[in-house]
Amino acid sequence: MNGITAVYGREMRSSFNSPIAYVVTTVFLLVVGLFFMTLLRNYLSFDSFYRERLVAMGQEVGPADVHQYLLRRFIATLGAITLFVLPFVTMGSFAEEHRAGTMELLMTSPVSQRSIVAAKFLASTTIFLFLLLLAFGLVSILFLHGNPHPPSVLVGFLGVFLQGESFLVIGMFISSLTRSQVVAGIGGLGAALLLWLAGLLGDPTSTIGAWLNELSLVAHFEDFTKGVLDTKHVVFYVCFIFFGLFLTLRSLESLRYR
Amino acid sequence: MIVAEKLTKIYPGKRAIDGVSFEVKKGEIVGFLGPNGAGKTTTMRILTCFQPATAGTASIAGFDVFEQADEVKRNIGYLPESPPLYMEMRVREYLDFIAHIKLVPRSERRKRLEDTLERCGLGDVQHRIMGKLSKGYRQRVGLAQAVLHNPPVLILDEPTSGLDPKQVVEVRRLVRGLAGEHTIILSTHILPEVSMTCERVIIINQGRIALSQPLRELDGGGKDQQNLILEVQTAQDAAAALRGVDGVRAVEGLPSPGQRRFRLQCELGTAVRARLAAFAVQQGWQLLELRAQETSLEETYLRVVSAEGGAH
Repeated sequence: MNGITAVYGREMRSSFNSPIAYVVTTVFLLVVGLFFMTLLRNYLSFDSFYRERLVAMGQEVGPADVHQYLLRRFIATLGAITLFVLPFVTMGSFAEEHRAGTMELLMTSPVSQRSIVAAKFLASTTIFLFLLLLAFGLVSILFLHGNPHPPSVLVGFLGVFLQGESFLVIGMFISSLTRSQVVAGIGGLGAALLLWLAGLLGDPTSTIGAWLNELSLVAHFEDFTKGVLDTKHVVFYVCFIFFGLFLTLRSLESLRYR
Repeated sequence: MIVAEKLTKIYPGKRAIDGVSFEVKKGEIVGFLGPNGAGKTTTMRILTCFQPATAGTASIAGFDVFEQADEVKRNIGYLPESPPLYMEMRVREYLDFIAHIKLVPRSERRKRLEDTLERCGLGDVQHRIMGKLSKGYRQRVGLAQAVLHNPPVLILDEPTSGLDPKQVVEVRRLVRGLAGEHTIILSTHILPEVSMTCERVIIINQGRIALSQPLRELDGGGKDQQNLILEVQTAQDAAAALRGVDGVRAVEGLPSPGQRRFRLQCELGTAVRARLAAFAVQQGWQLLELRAQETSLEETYLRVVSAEGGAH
């Protein structure tokens, strides 16, 4: 694992030296903030509407379930937003090295390819975690003024995290195939979208359709949004991530034969 | 130090190099010469473990490039055709990164960094962003990157390509300065570069080694004779008269206005030149030029390259 910290450090510095990280963060915050605001407003009007009615009917009720009517939707939306944002975090990871010729430097240095892939994966994960932290900041407002169920929120964010890591490995793999960041970005987004919605590709009543649905990233995401932690889904994502990293490593090795 | 044996690399539909064998001894500077597309870069990529050969073996400092890639990578410094720079980084920051990935021990890092900055003349620009440096400086950073960890073997792929004449001179001086401590292979398609910096030339053409010889053996085309260029102004038949001078073996007229310029094949030593000068004065000729033809690398190169089917 030699050189992994050096490559990771360089990757982080370069992310914050380039405008991409800032643009991605800004857009992410803007979109997430907008959705949060809208969902919150909907929740509040829904809540007051029903409570008024029920109180008028002489029933004593508490506030509407904040997880069911707000957080669940918010987490599902967050998962969808990461799909559109994360390919732009990873698009440069290898494409830029190919373009600048620095891949030749890394490959002829005594740093293993495994370390290179690991360092880049960790670097993009760090940026993703930073984005998640910002999103969590919004949710924490609910803890100040209401009482959401903390474990459910954590399970939801775990789901967003695992699904997002899958998007990151898809993006990295696509980026390792090309020397153009634009191709890597759009290709990564397309591939992620396709795998996300793989269930739509086949008739869900047929065997193939059922298989495709099992492969679909979003199908495994849904339970997390409900606050349900199922090891089946965790294992699926972990396997998916490792398989993606493995493919990326293979792609780097194949460079030597191209 | 560097041994290549029957290296062959086949890309889909193309044989890039074919049975390339050569050896470079410790401390030697070897010029790797050939037309574009002859297989120079491919050979270098094999030597640096960037690409495996289809067939054949190569070793650096006794380590096989395929079996012991890690040891090989520790023992080489490689400057690819375009310097592998992260344009958004500062020079010093970049070289520090290189020190890490080239596994320079922590205790030596600072010293190696300062040494390299000084050696490559980068002290003044160490805090500048590389994207804003001139091409000459970028090339120097590329060289600095290759020598930072003080590897015994340096592999430089066209270190002077795309530079202006002044920068070319600087980079060549830098490379010459590295000789002795390092074994160096440098590729180029510029002939004078080889005669200025190298001790031995390997000419590669269409994927095969066409010639491998020490440069001084190329001078004058052989070991026991030299070529002189002589230009005189006279009405006489100078060629015939020159053949009679002691030590002159052959006279060849060179195209010039009035046909009074010759290439003389002579025996070694400076005595011949003295005799020729005296002879010209004695004959009443006006001596315009008399010098030893320094290198015939260009001729050798053209002969070798065109004999094998022409340059690209």
